Amino acid sequence: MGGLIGIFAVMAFCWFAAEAALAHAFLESAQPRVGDTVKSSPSQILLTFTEDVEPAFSKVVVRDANGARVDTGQMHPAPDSAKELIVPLKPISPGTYRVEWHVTSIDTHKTEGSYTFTVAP
Amino acid sequence: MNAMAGAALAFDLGPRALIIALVRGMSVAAAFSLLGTLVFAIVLLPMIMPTAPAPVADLHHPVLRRLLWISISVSGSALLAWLVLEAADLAEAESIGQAFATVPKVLLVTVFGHVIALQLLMLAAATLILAGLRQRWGYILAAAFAAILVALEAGHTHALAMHFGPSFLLASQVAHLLAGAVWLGGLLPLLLFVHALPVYSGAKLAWRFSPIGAGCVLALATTASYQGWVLVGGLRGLSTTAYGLMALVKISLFFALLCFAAINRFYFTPALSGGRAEIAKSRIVFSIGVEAGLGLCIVLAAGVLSTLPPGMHMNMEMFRESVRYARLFP
Repeated sequence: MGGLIGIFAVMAFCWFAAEAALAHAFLESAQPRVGDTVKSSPSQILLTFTEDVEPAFSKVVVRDANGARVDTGQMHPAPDSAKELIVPLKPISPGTYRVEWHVTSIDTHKTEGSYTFTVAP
Repeated sequence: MNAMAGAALAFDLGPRALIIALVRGMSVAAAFSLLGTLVFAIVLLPMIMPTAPAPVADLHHPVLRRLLWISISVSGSALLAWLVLEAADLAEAESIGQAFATVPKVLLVTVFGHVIALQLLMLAAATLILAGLRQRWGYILAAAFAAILVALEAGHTHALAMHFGPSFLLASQVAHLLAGAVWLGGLLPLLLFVHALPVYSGAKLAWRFSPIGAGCVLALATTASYQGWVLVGGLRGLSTTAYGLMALVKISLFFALLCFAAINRFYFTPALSGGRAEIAKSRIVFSIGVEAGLGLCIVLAAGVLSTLPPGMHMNMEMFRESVRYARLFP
């Protein structure tokens, strides 16, 4: 009985002392940054996720204000990090752009999201 | 601006995800059964051989061999089914043909595919050894491959995705899986042999199984607590998210299982040596059967749990606290 109470006590302590951790691929950082206004047109988007992602089952699309795609469709992982995806862009003019990402983390969980950035010289 | 604006989990536990989770649970249960039965045969059977009639407590007893082959068959079938279902889900396939066409790609380019391929390899190695080598050391070698098969399951969990490479959480997952396999996987052979053996030998077997079970329970409780600490997202995550609620279901089943184990250990097993041994034997057989059934439910619940997004993500307020604002926003 003492052992059972001990197990309960350890579990209770652990959950009371709990802290958050990351276990799904969410966007950790982006270049250009979320909601940012940049002066020069970027040639690519760099997305960094909280986990390693499966590029073969991930997709990133960049659209202009009219909904037209401005990425080249040649997204690829960064050479030195499985957490990063690089999305080459066509030459883009001033305006607001939406980045839509759908990624699969290596534990096969899917996440998705979007954000905008603006080019204003 | 809200850090989670436009971001969402694309996951929902619809019928397809539930089937994947249950198939995954079946593959784990069968791998547990394989390893648990092998450990039972290697560690426990030799302890009672001097007292049990030789044909009954033999490594080549038909019941033991049948249990091993059933475990292997279910494990292999479930792993293959999981591979196809996961491929269909990843490719968002609309036909069975499309799902099968995606399988090679999944096997070649994804971590999930690599781990499944390794698991199938370990299962094949254990199968070949059991088919070809019938000596005790053949069982030991097969158990080693079965242990790797079980440990590789950690490669499908949140632990590896959170940190690709060795980590304390990954080690905790491996220990959790191995302890679960030895305890829960050993229940079915225990049930069959306690039923088949004379009362005295059955009692001895049940006594010998108790310390192994107790050690596994301790390992399971310790590792589950650590994983709960990291993954559930605190008491708030436990009570307000699907992941937390499923974790509660698993914990409840675990404590129900502990109760049956305690009844077996402190009441039925001593009764096997008493005056009404035959009645005690039928009761302990029933009780171990319930234990095994609860064990299967726990493994299936764990399959669903592994498919659900961890609690701290579903609890958005908590997730916002963990997002690194400075790097996301200008």
